[in-house]
Amino acid sequence: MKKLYLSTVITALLSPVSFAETNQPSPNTYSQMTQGGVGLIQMPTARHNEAGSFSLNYQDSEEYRFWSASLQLFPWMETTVRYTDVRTQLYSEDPTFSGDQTYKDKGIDVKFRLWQESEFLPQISAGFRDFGGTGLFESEFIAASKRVGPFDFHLGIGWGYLGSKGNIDNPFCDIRDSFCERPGGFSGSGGKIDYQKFFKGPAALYGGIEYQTPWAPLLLKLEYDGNNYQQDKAGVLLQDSDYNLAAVYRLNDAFDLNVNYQRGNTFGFGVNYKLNFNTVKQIKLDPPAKEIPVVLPTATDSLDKAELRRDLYLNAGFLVNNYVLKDEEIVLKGRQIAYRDEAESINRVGRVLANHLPEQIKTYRIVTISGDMPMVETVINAEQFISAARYETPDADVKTSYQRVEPEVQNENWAVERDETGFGYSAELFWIQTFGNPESFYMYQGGLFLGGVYQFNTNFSLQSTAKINLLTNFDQFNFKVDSQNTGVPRVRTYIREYVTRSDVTMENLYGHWKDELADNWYGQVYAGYLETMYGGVGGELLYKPIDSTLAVGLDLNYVRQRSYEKELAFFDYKTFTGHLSFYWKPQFLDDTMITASFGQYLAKDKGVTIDFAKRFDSGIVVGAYGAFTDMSAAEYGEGSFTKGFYVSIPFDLFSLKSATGRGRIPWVPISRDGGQMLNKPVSLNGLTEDRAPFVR
Amino acid sequence: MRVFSFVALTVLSFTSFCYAAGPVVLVKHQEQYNGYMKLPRLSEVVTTVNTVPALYWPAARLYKTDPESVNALELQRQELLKVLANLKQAYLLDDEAELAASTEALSQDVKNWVLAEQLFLALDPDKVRAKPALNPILRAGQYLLQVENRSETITVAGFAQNTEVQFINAADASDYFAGIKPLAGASSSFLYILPAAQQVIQAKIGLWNSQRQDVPAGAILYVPFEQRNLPSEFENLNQQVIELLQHRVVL
Repeated sequence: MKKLYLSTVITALLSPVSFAETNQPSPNTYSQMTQGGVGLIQMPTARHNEAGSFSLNYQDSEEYRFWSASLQLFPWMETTVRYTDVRTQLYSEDPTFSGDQTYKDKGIDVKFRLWQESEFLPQISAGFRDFGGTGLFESEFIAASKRVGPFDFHLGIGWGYLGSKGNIDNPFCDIRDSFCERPGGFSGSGGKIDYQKFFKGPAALYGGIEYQTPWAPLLLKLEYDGNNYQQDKAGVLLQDSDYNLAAVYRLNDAFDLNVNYQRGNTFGFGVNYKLNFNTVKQIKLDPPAKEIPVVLPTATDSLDKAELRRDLYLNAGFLVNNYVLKDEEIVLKGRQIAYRDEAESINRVGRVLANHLPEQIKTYRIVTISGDMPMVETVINAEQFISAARYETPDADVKTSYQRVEPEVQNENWAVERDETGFGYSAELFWIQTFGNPESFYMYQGGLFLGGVYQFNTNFSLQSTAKINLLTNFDQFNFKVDSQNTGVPRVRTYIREYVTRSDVTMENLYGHWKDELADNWYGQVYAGYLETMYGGVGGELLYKPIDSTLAVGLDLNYVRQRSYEKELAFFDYKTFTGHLSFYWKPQFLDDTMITASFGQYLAKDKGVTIDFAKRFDSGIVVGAYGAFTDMSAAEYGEGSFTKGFYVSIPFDLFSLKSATGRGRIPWVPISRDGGQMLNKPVSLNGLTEDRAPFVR
Repeated sequence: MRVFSFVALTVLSFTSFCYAAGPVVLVKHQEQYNGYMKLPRLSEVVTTVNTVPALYWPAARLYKTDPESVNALELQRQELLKVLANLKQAYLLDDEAELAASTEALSQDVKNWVLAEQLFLALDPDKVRAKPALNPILRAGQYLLQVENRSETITVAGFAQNTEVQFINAADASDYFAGIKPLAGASSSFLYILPAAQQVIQAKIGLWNSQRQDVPAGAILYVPFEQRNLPSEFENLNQQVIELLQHRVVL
């Protein structure tokens, strides 16, 4: 007898290749809750989506509006960030400060999987909601989920906002008395993780059922709420019923629409936009990689150098800077400008070379340069490469025919005499945006960075950038400097002055020297106006072996604060600032980089900045950082310490042709004067990315 | 490239060619032997055989039948039989008579398998001729190319009483599981699908994890042992069986 098909998902756990002939529908994801993150309606569940799953959500109900983004960083860890609009409260009591804007709040959640589901045991997860903020919805929970056919059963215990109903005794209260009462308020000046509150106070049992209807797009949810809505920021909310209902309609792979009926008296609705950072990609209309003919060219005389250079550029995305053609090998120096993946890049370059070069050339040496310095040399054994590229064995793999080594090109007799001096120009678009401002929720400034450089030789240059604002609403600022005078030098909190001084400003003007000092060692020195707010002198040293998991850098600077009133003048504030940085790619986490920078910051506070970045298969990089210094939360002010998030998106996810280059979207909840590093004009670790690729 | 076609008088005998004058690659298909004097591309081998429209290429399999390959697989089979024997002993000691009986049944089945090294290459002549990446040069040796009309049945191996089930068009893996009579100790949550010339797919068919998984025609289904029932020293048993099953010739 035929069974009714329920959820429709692909899994090919042992077979990563899925052939397009099957009629398999694409993977289903667990639906989001109102506040963002996988869950029922108000209550979170133990479920996790596939790693890389991302959801951008908008949820609307009478008292609250939520904009949230939820990302499954690892199969066992989900993170959510959220902006809340409390419609029944005002942003502040002062109309000159914030007009009639309603109350806004930020929140961050995290959820960990503790136990995977099996035939008889449920999936168990624990999570922390709205920690590290002013904690309007601050809660902890432990949840269990079990699926039986089309039903998914959930049960959980919540503490804090999720547990305010208090229908059970807090189990931790039986173990230790301190867990019976939940401390109120928040530590520091908000923005800190309040460990001392975790799992304390009243606890509530909650649960729910999700039913996947026989009609694939429709999912129904029933939930027993653990919250009694007596302590909501929006005010005491009437709860006519402990049960909430929702229906989710999956419009297509990208959109989920939902409606819900909460507390027996309120309707709400929302939309979710789903993406998977691991699988998202764009169709590419690149020229096909060249096939290698059976008959190869025989002599060097027939080599058409102009055509070889053109083929390398158009087909392999390799811009040749210089070359040496010897009896049995060719050395090429240049940059890759199209293909982000090294394997594809070398495959294409090798094929172009094999098509043009005669058989006696046995070795191709391809040197990748960055900032005029050789980064890495890929040595291709031509015979093995050609045999693999012609598929002369059933398990032919081009990757086995080359290796990456330290470049040995100091004494080469380059074919072209290049004049390395001269002028250069560049133009780059920028867009600055901030959320949650009192004057207007969304404020922005966009324009152009026009750059000019005079290069004296490959090591030394003079650089300058002008910032031109084209589109901005920063003129709506009601105040330029906030009123929190905590005694700490204002190293960054004059930001509004700097960005509103004039529509055309000099961003930087400095002399720059860089060189490869020895094998694996790189150095740079710069002096002048280094960034918007600081000028001075500084240098950096970096140790970065090829394909290593650890790189170490040291930078030292002596800077003086630039004036926000006059273009070229300085204020009196001077300081040393410098850091010892470790760039580490741990083996036990896939595609992750942790950067730890220890040193002294601009406000003379000392501490460490930790940056955690995860790269997904599509090239999207998501990161979070925090600066932990000896500046106290009281001295720091609102937010307690500097933290931020960013998403770096490769441009060719949007284009039909492969391209290198990416854009970075930052989100900085609060940035004040503590833990602030100098924005160095050039970062050696970024410059030497090719030596140990992470971002690609 | 001259091709020799001749009817073999000895059907499954593997004669070795020690003199240079003979073909370097010999491909057997449905009682016919095709020999090639120079190492052929895969496209030549499949197009020579592709004379009848009814041949169902998505279920085609290519095996290397050299004595060396077969001997290596034979050693693997002996290894597996030893492990199964040990497992059976472990169950008898633990007083699990039914599980021991299941293990014995699988053991008997494994003894009767015909083995040859399967090559995981795309075989459809239309694909192979169109993309150079799918058209490698074969190594010297003897091959068996198995491609016939679309099969009406799906072979079942593992902890099941059936040896085959009826093929159902566009059906889910759990539909096949409904038609299989599992032995004691078999898993009711997972089913492994070994499609022709592709890597293994794990299908989820339990009440708690079911997801739709297509079963292509010509696949072999493997009913695994429930992981819970396996003692810790034998936890890779299912993997070991699958690794050998991939190289089983289903005649």
